[in-house]
Amino acid sequence: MTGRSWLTLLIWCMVMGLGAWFTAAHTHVESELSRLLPEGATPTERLLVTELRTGATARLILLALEGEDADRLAEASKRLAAWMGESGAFHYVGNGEQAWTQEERERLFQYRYVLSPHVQESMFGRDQLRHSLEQRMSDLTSPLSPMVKALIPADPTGEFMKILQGWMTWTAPRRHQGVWFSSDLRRALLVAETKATGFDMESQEQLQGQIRETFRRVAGVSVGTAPAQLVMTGPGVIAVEMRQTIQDDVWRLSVYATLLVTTLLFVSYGSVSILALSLLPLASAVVAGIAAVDLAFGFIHGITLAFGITLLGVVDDYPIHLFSHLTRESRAPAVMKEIWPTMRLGVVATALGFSALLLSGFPGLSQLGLFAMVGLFTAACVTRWVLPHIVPMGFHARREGLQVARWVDALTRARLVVPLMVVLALGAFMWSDAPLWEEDIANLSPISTEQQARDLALRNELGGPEVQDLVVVEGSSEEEALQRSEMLALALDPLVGKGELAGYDLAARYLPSRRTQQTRQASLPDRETLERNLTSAIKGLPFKPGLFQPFLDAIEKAKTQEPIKIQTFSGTALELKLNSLLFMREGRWVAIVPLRGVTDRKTIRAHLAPWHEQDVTYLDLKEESNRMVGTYRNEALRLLGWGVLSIGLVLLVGLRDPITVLRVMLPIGSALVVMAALLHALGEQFSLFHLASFLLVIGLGLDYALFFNRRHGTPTERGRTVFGLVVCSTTTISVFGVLALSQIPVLRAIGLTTALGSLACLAFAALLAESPQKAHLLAATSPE
Amino acid sequence: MTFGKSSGSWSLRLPAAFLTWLFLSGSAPISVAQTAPQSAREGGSPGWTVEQLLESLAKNRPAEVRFEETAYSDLLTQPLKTQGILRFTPPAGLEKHITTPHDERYLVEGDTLLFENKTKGTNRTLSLHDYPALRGFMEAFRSTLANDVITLRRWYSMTLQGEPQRWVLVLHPLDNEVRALVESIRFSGERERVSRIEIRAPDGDRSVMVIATGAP
Repeated sequence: MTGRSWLTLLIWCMVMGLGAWFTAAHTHVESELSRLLPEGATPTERLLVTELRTGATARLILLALEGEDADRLAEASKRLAAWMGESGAFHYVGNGEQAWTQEERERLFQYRYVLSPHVQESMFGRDQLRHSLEQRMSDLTSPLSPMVKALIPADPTGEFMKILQGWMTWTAPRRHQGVWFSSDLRRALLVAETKATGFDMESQEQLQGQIRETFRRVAGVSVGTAPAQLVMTGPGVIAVEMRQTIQDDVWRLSVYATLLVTTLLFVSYGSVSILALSLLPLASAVVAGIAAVDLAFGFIHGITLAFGITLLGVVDDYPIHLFSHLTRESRAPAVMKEIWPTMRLGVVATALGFSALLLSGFPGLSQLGLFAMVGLFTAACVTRWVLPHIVPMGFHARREGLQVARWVDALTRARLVVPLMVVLALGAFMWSDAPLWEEDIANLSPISTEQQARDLALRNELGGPEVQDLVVVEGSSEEEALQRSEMLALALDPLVGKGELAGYDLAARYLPSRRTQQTRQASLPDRETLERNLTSAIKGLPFKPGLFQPFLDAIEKAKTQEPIKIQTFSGTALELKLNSLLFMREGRWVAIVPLRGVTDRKTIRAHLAPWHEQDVTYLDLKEESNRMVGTYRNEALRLLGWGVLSIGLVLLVGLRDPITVLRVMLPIGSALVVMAALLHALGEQFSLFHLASFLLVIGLGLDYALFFNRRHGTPTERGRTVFGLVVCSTTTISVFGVLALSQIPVLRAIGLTTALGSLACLAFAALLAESPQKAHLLAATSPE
Repeated sequence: MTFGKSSGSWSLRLPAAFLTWLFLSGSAPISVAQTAPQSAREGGSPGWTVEQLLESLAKNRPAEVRFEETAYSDLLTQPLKTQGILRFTPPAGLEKHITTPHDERYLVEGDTLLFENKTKGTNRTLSLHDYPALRGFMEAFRSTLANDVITLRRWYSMTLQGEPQRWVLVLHPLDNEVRALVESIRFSGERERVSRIEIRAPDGDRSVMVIATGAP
């Protein structure tokens, strides 16, 4: 090695050391999935993303304690709920035990006349009062009398009970020993809302671990009976399990892939040091990629890292090209200089392809794009300026290269296969009526059908606290949002009556707008009128004289009472509920109205369409998320087009010959078409992840096509090129082929697409490579 | 406005008291089928025990009986009267159906309680086990059916007075939450028939249910 090469090596070591130190010390690896989601372009999308990210729906954990002994399960449910309540990690824990605390009931009772929707002037007239009083008499004869008795003097019209009944909007599961159970009494049911968001994986994982541990403790006392089991579901639980599955799968598959590649490289080059050296560019690329993403975004997502390293698999080709071209006589730096123009063109063009990812509006994909581009350039630089100086002197590839090259070149005779296959592929597309694009976001998620079934079963048993349909009511002030949602409620009630809607929740139910509160207050009679009406109404009924003094006092007080505010409920479960139903976003007040049991979404949509002018929007969350993913897919598709176009331009500049550009692009284009048709025939529906893989395939294909179309000095050199290409593609195909075995749809999509694409690119590049005469020449000069 | 002493007990009172009423009246013939050893006996024939009483009541229990009930409340200047039918369906189904002056039904089946008032248009279902105070009554009722003396003894102290021809059985709840709602329940009867059930509340309110002879 020369002094200069030592210097290069030293600089590289320092840069890498710094980079490694930086990434180790600074990089924040994020695991919250929602960080990868876009902010959203429209207010609706932003709201949707916020709901997904922080909404109550995303924070729900549904639990079932399964076992044979219902009494024991009930006991375990109570103890588990008590622990959860004390842990402070939950906004809400429900297992069917008492809904309202003493304090909450007292506060509600105090404000009964502004809270009750039944309060209107006529209610305090003589006839209505008489009717109420008669009902109270029947209450006193009922077995329920000891309870209602205490309320009668201050609340003869029964407002308090009406409020509580009106708020019981949802049919609770059956109960046993005071806690919720499935109908067969084999599962005690609980619902909890975590304070941590559903996608905050670290907190969720920790919390779920604690729940499991506590469950073991509270259920572990049983001796002699079959042990009880804990089943959990909900977005947070699924996300954690999903991550575990991905990690397990990725780990297992990377072990296979690494073993395969190592074996392949060792068989190809028969040198351990070469094996180690081939990892240098990749390692440098990963370090540089992490540092760049961290500098640009402030964090790197775990998923970016995993997929990014996959995408960077293409850089493993660079050292392979170098090693394949080494001979006994040649010096590595010289060889490198010789193949550099081809490699450089490949690098620039591939980087352009990846830049499409960078420009997509999806933070996840942008990170991936930046990571891949920086990694690509780093790997190229390391291969160009560092690697040649540390390759062992005198290393050369085996002669089998020539043999391989002869086989590959023989393929050029069958070049007509390519157009034939493209025509077949296009035909297959045209004749197929299977949907081309994946429209349902749920199918992209790695949730297993077993997980889905479990989730659905628990939701059904708990009375379906699932939020898919929302009405979003906006206003410039809290009051305006509340008033609008009150008007909306008037429009929703007929739908509930017709059974098109099972029910809805509404912030204004717990916190009426000031206007409504004032209207209710105004409809309360003054003391004299009320007293007169009451005296008249009570005639002939056996109530004790002066019994209703507290009622007269309460009405008088309620008339001038301060209106209720959110603060009125501070520290109660009601406050938490209100905070999730009514909040400020971007300077606007938003009231969320979750709908339950929507039978026909079209009817609801049509019914609510005229409300749109008043900032009332109906959202089908599932449809919205699908649409949003569709939008990003279309954007990715558009960017993919631009990427391909710019690759063509770069090639034109680099190769200066439109024919050669066509020769390079044609196999890639054909490969993409054939691969897409093949995937389609296999039943794959294309998603964003397939599109990202297409980019990788284009990058790989470019590399193959460029090297196939290199102007070769000698047949032996061509042999080396071809051998290098075969090694490259074999490693790629095996790595992604292993990935295609994954259970996770996203990984499978990437693996399958890339493996097939890489194979097609190599085959087509070989088939469409330059003149067959050279193949003859090669055959003639072969050593055998 | 008075709320209960402890959190939750206020709304417990209603069903708890109701169940006291319902169960003890409806199931009177069998629900006291065990003698707690500590129960005192005053007068009466030697050897006449709660077990014997209960056994004879169970043997001769009719499927349904008519009743007339009078409720005395300190809110009222005169008592209120109702009439209706009590039905018993083994093993744990009970119904108190008020027919006059209004139509109201309380039905307990296993773990659930149905409350229906056609005049008010109310139809609601509750769980008996929602409320700890109820537990005592439920356990008493169920353990009686299952001949579970130990459980019964945990919830009640019992006093049997009189003779087989004319007897009075008084139940005093042992549990504090139950005591907050009910002071005592007195069953009176002749031989194998319950004729009267009186429930006293701690605040002095009481109700007297008179059960008609023969089937309705």
